[in-house]
Amino acid sequence: MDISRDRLELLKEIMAVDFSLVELNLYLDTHPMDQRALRLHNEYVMKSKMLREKYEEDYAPITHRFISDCPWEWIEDPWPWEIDYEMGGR
Amino acid sequence: MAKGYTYNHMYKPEMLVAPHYEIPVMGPEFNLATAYIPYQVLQKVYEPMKGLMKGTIFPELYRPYVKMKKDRED
Repeated sequence: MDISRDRLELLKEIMAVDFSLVELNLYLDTHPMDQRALRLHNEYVMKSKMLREKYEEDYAPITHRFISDCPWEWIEDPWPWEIDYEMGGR
Repeated sequence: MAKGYTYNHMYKPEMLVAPHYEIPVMGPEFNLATAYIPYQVLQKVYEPMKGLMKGTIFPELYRPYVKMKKDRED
């Protein structure tokens, strides 16, 4: 199953920002007073939220926490392992 | 600090463990046979996509395995 180039690019951007958030999460657990890291965390939280909202509005839900019509919409889109991430490769 | 025996060696920052080992002697505040992990200090971070591709956003933790020529047959 194919997804559009634009959709893939947006998905990758979300994956990248979310990965940075995991990294900062780990760092902040041991450096809770680091204001620079906190600022970066807050900035990425905003960015991730914005990108996810855009993705869900333009394409499909990112998690199962959404209100679905019948039939269950979650299975309409490709599973993560069905996506060709190299398309338009990075 | 726990009561009891203290390993109170003479310490100078330039001391090495043994003349032919270039391992510095650590200060008396470090207990013997205890492992230490230096505390990370935030430097620059990679931008998100670069971090995702490298596996870390912290340049100081980016230590990829380098492909080495096989120098012996097993």
